[in-house]
Amino acid sequence: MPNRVLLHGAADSRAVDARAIVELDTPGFELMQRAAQFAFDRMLVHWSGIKRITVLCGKGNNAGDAYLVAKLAKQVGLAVQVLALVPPNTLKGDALTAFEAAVAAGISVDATTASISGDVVIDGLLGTGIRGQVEGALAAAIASINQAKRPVLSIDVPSGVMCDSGAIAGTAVNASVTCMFITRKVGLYTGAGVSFAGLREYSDLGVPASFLDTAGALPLLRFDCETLPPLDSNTYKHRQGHVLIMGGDHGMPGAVAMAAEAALRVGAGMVTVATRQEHATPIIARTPEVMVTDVSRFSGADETGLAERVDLIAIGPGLGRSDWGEALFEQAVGLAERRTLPLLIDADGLYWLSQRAVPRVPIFVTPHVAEAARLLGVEAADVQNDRLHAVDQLRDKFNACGVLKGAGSVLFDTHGTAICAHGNPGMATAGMGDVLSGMAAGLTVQSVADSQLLFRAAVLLHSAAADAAANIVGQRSLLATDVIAHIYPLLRSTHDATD
Amino acid sequence: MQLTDPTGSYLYDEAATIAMGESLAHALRGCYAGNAIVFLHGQLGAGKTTMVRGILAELGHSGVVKSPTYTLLEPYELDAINVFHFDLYRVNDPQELEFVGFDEIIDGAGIKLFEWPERALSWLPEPDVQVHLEVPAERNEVGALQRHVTFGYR
Repeated sequence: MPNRVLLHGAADSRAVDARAIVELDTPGFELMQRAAQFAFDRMLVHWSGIKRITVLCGKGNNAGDAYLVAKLAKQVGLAVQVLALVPPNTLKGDALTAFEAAVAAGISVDATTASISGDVVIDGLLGTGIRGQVEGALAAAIASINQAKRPVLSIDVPSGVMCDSGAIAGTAVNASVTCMFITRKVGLYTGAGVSFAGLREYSDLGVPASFLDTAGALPLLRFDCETLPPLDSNTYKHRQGHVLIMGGDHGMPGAVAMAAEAALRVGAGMVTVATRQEHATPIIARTPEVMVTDVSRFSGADETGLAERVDLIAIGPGLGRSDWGEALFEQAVGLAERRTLPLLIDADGLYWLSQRAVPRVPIFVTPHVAEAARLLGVEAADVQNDRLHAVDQLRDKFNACGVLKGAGSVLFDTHGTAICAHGNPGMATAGMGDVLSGMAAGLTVQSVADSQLLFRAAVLLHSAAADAAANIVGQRSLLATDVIAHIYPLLRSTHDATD
Repeated sequence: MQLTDPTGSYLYDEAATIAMGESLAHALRGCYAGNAIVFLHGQLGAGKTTMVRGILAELGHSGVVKSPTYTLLEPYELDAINVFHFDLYRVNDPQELEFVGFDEIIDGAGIKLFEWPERALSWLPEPDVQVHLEVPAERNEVGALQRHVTFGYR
């Protein structure tokens, strides 16, 4: 696969570093010099014209990189303030060598209690080897970086961000730019780590891409239209799949309306919405391609008839938590189990799922953090602090495929776990999840054999379309329906050309 | 543990094995901060002790390296780093390891190198680095037995 981007945790990063040192016969100090040069170059690109920098150094390899950045800055005539967390004579190995090189270049060192004087701060306090909570002098040093309100370049990982999960170990450096070396650290791509990392920069330091293929590596996925199975020229609407969307209680017709339109826009053959009678007219007025059925008469013969025709049921948008919502959820599960139809469950559908036994059909779920926490019977913080572990639990408990939403959405299915490369904070807005449900249902329904691939594609397409829309309307103004409007340019395949 | 590199590399002669040991020492010091469990797999004469010589030399040991086949353990106190060289070839019962203060060494700081770890696997922790040395069945065109080495890292 071209340009396959992989993300690594602390242990895998260490293994890749070790392999590079042993098998490329590249001493660790050589890699440290390359890392420092990369960080230094990026610093000058982002903040050209700076006169003075402050470099904070901890005690490991991260500090070694930082001492060498200080040395490079000194050599080009910048004023360099170096603040050391530990007495430099306690440094070991390559970090000690780096410190000695900095001193030889004329660097002197103060304690981290000194006030920060640089125009730019280089954060070399903590790297990937962080254990437990950040406390004491280290926490104080991180606080002084954040209070200095200067641009910050973090080395490899913003100090205090957990490389494996993106959780914050009590406190963390709020970086403007993070320069990652050799491996991209997964904790900077999901959860809180996304915002603490700022702009992510990466250099392989000359280590070949084949070294990154470790057992624990997670792919960072981008939407690629060409991975979708091409449309058969001889297809027909029944073969493109029939989605049944159930939901839309009083006051929430928009949820099912948006889901239905999104499902059609990604190529579902047919979409039927089962909702309250009074919602039929507004839904059809907006999207006449949608069929609407009255849920109060949706039982017995009618239900059986419809069940014979649909290929996937999406339940949740606008469902609510009243008796009506529960009855509809049970009806959806009953229908799905009778014909072994896949169920796509979102929103309050996930609430009802958490209240009952796991349906015995293929399940796709699209929870945000709070919904995932309810499904797992844990606190929301437990999910957010270890999103990768949470999806493993969701996969096991519900035998489900799905996505854990929120910055750095985590995709999970039987192939494994992956991180979505797209998305923006403007997506935190009403109806965004309903559009995702519709898109996921509309794509997944198109092929039983490729359902997992299509579900993944739907999640990636949804956030890629949201990014495209935000490029025009801005993140703050972004509406869920803007996302639907930005699907088609991304879905136009090279196969679409006609004579 | 999965080998990250199924292809590995050839060690043309004894000097190459020692050089590879030196590189490994760099990684043990730089990536594992001098605390690591290393398994060295390979038949008799595969070059395990030769590689240990390279590791020890790079970490600052200048004397001879004795194979601890009979003593089980040869400890080295080097510049700011302790190295423990085990050879478990003659271990019949892993309980023998208790006599060399095995638990304390495993729990303590330092680099622990194990030849023949398969003799006491149930007693050993998961390794951080595994080295597999293989001797080919046939000599190459210049009549040498060219060792092949693969690594696994955790």
